[in-house]
Amino acid sequence: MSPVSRAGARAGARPGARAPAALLAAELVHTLPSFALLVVAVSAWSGRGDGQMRTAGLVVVLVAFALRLVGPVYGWLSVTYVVDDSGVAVTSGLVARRTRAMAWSRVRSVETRRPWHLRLFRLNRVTLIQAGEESAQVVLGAVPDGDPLLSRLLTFAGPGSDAGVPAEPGGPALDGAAAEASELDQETLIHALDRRGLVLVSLAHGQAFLLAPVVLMTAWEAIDTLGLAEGLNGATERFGIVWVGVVAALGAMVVGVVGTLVRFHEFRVTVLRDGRLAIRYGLIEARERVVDPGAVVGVMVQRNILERLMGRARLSVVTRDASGGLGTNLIVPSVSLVVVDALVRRHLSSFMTERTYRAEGRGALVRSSVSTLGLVAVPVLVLGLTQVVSATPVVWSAVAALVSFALLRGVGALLTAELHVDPVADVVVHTTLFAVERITTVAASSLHGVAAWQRPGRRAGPPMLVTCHLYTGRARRLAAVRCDRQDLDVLRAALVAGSGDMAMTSVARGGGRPG
Amino acid sequence: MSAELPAAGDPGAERLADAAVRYWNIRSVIGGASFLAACAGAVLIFRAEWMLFWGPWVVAPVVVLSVLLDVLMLNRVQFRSYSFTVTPEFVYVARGRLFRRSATIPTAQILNVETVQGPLLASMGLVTVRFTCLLDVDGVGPLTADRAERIRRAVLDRRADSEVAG
Repeated sequence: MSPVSRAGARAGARPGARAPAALLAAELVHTLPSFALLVVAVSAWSGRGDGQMRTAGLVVVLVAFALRLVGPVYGWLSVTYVVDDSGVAVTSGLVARRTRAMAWSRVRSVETRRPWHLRLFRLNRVTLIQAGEESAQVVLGAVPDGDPLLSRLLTFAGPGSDAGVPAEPGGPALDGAAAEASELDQETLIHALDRRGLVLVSLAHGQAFLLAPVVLMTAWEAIDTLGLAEGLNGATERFGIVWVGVVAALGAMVVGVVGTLVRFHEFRVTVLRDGRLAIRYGLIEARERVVDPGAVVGVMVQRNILERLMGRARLSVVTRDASGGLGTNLIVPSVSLVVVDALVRRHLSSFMTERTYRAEGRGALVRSSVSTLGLVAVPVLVLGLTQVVSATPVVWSAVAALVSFALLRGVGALLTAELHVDPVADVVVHTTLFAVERITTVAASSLHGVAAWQRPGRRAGPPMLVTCHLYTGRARRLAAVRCDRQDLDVLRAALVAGSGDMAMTSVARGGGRPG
Repeated sequence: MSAELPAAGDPGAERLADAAVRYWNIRSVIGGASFLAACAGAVLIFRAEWMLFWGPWVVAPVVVLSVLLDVLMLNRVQFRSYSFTVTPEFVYVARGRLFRRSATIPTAQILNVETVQGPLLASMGLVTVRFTCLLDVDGVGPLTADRAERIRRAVLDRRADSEVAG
């Protein structure tokens, strides 16, 4: 039994125990690559100078090593866990103690992550998530593979799971939980992606183009640090900038595709026997997220211009706890609309309306194409103008281009936003079509409030701007400039008629127990 | 205190306390005077030439004019356009003359009700009510203490009922 489990077994008798010591080793191993790079960089830098430079380099390396040693040790020493029948409590800090407790009944989803350094030591980082603030999640930093606690954490997620909890804490409780957890194996596959599918996803979704700049910039920084930039400049002079550019672009695409293959390796979405959704993927960092259907408040369908032309789309669920864009969990990265339609009809039917997918049409394609072109052209224009007209440093030109991109995207999305209400399905459909078409369908009962701006008059005119407020890990809003007066009235009436409460985590200072 | 949900943008059933305009006027004057005092302090400390021109000839007249605009017109317009309805089911607030903003919040989504009373509000026997929720509604008020208490009770009693039922 692991120390964490022992903590759970004796939860009522004494404060919790620490994570396995293997966590300390894993964290130290995690720092090795960047530390090695630092050592190489400092050696290259100090090697060019005299004895004083070498001494300074040695001091830098030693200080960095000491700092990297202190962090994991402090974290390991200061964090303790208690797991018992009422819930989980994590206490952190040596001087100021802070305890964060979460009752089992509050857990809405469980996320398991296995970064490469934890996988080496067969450890898992488990996050218990509820419908509260993102900062109110409870994280167990290291739970070993095969530990009954891991199964227990997964089993306890979801409403009604308390039913299987034995009255007495300790060994029998974990055995019971383990038996219950074995039922999790009986699950139905909803969707899986093979390598070919992932390559298509990478190209259609633009992953190749999104990941590549980051990797290339990191590579360039390393090349520059190691003093290899001169060799690259020589290659540019020898083969010409066009060919070097072509090779770089191809390299970027390959890097992007490989990045997608690694990140979404063995992407699988399944439905567990009790109805919860399980999303698993990742090669180097394996991720698993189990979502309670009660936490799902909507669905989001997205597609860019390439996906529109290929008849594909991305499907995500909007949950009360997620930290992604608009609190979403990706269900399918980029698949045909037929598959998306089948998935929504079969597993998320309460969010299926005639507006869940925008009707195909030439107008939508033209709008998508023009806005995509504008979104690319304006930052390029800003970059070019700031470089040609004035002698602006490249960094500031790049910042100006990025700001123009963000502004254009935000304003464009707002100006194209529409809000519709389906009173039969009791859902709100929010659509934007600026470069990427995004259709968000959320349950009206999940909204926390509605605000509208209108023209004044004896009787206020049609709304100029409507904002719906909802909670998905943090406060978010759906804003639209187009919304019928009738839809607005229906939405407000539905909001007042039935609205769910917001659950909160108990956060206590100076010690606390789950409850 | 029960009422129908007003149509979006329509006036609510209740208005602010009559003394609200006086409170806003005094607040505008105090705000303007404080800003001018801070500017005068900066001029005295730094004594920069550009400050000696911009301070008395540009900043001071703009501040005085904006305070006068508040006192003579904007605060009255705000008072006339500000209305609200609070029932055990919802809170509705409508405000604004040029651009009318209305907000609807179910009481089930209100986590807490806070009453705020600074020295100026206290001297006039007024209270401002704030609702803790996701929607950015900067409270209702100033109101008389009795009405603030009625609002607080209406919202919190409803929450207590829904929690017991839940």
